[in-house]
Amino acid sequence: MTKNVLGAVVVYGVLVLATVLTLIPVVWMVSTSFKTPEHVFTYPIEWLPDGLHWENYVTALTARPFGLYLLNSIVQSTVSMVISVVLCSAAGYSFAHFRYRGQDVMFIIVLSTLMIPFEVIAVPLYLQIHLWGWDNTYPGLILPTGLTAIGIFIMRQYLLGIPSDFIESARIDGGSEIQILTRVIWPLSTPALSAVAIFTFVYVWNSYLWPLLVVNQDSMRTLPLGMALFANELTVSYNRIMAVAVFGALPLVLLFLALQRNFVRGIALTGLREG
Amino acid sequence: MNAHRRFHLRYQTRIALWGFVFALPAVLYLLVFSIFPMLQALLLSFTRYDLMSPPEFVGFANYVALLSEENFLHSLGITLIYVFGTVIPVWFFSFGVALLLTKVRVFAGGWRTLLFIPTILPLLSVTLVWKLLFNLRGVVNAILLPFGVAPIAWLTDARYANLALIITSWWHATSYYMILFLAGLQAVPIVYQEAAALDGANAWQRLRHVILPLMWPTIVLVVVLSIINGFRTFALQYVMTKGGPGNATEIVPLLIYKTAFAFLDMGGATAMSVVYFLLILAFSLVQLRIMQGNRND
Repeated sequence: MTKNVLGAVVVYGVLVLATVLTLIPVVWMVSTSFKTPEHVFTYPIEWLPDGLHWENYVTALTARPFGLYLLNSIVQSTVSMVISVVLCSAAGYSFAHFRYRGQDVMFIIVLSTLMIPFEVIAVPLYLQIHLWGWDNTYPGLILPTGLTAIGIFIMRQYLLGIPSDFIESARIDGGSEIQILTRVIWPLSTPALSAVAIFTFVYVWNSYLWPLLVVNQDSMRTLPLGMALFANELTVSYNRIMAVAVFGALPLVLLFLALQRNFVRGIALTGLREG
Repeated sequence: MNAHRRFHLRYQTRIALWGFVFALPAVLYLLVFSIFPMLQALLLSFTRYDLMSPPEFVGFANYVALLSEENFLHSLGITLIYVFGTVIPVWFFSFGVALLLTKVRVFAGGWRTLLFIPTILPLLSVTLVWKLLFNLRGVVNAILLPFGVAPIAWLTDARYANLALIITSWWHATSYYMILFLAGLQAVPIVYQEAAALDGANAWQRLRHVILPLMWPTIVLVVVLSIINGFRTFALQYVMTKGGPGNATEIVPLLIYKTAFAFLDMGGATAMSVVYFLLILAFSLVQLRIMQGNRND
């Protein structure tokens, strides 16, 4: 009995410690964003702000076109998500339920791209995009990172679990192949589809290296670029930088709150990220 | 009969054609935006190319230069320190926290959500907050002060900058791999643990002989993924230290970036990329080998 109590104390003690360490930066970010500059660096630490100075948000978010950055990030992430969901589901379906000549070669091509980290091809990719005159354009920003190859595997693995009978009977009912994909396969694979969708959205939302290379016009900057640029201005005080950090975090936090279950499963299914 | 067979064949061919058509867009996409650039990197790595004049073939000169150049070897060393300094503790942190989460009964979902927060935050928000925390007058120093630690210039002192980045990554990555471990742990049937407990196995024995073997696929996944993800770091260093002070935190992706776009040395940058690619590939293959071999014991 005492052993159990001791065990529980250790379990909850360590858990509380881990949670406190996890929350300190988050609390500090939110708290600082509401402070006046004089209260940012104080000793002893002031965990709570000296008031809710919303004007930090107003001055920070109007100092640069953050609305535009946000819009660019939303367009970039959403289009990539659509590209990935459509192409990965079609290819995953093809690899799971069809047999044709050249299939092995195509599968090997997909496999090998998984071994190529984006950082390694960034330079030649940029030269290519530059050659096409795609600097500072949406296609240039979006297309090179728009398709997450791992999504093809996730879809394939998932669709292997769907019996071919479903597909055959849909064919006998006279469904065209495209209809079978959109009306049979998609509804049957929503967990995998949402995993690919969420993963791609978050992955692209966090992307930094590629936008940094391909964008140098302010109107085309994405949120991460704009945030870094704002933070690097020497005259900016930390309360405003934290206001921007909170602002930049809100879209993903809202997405998480809206899709909690799928979100966690998406992470567990995919597991890739930058950094 | 013959007509029927011909129809059947045509039917099969038509379906096979559709299969090809479904896979084609994704495969072409990857050829254009992944395979082709990789081949181009390989080609460019044998040239001298500064964007002004056309590429000029120089054989292995860029590779020879890399191995004799201190910058690159320094960056490789820094990268290895960053990657392994990050991932090894993170394996234990994330597995430990996930294990604890399976033990709690009070507020179970709440702990998980709170511990998951770092994963939901965008990387840029994370870097900006930690830059503030590691400020000379920041929270980290304020917490250490009562323990008699004099304030440290974490991000501008070459002795501490890498440690500061590694600590930031601990914080950010632990939460993430915790989710992967938690998913794996929840798949371990509870009856196995109960049976082992009835047989008199203590907590350590249950972990060693029941949980770990069943968790092995998840462990392999986390180890391989975390190392690959570690090698792919860029924004963390770029935003928090710009590779500095000096080049103290200049990890390879940052050096590639600078070589290409600050020094306009495309040959050198792509040669680094190719070497880096081979290094990551070798790490992944060796790991998979070792860990798969381990499993067969």
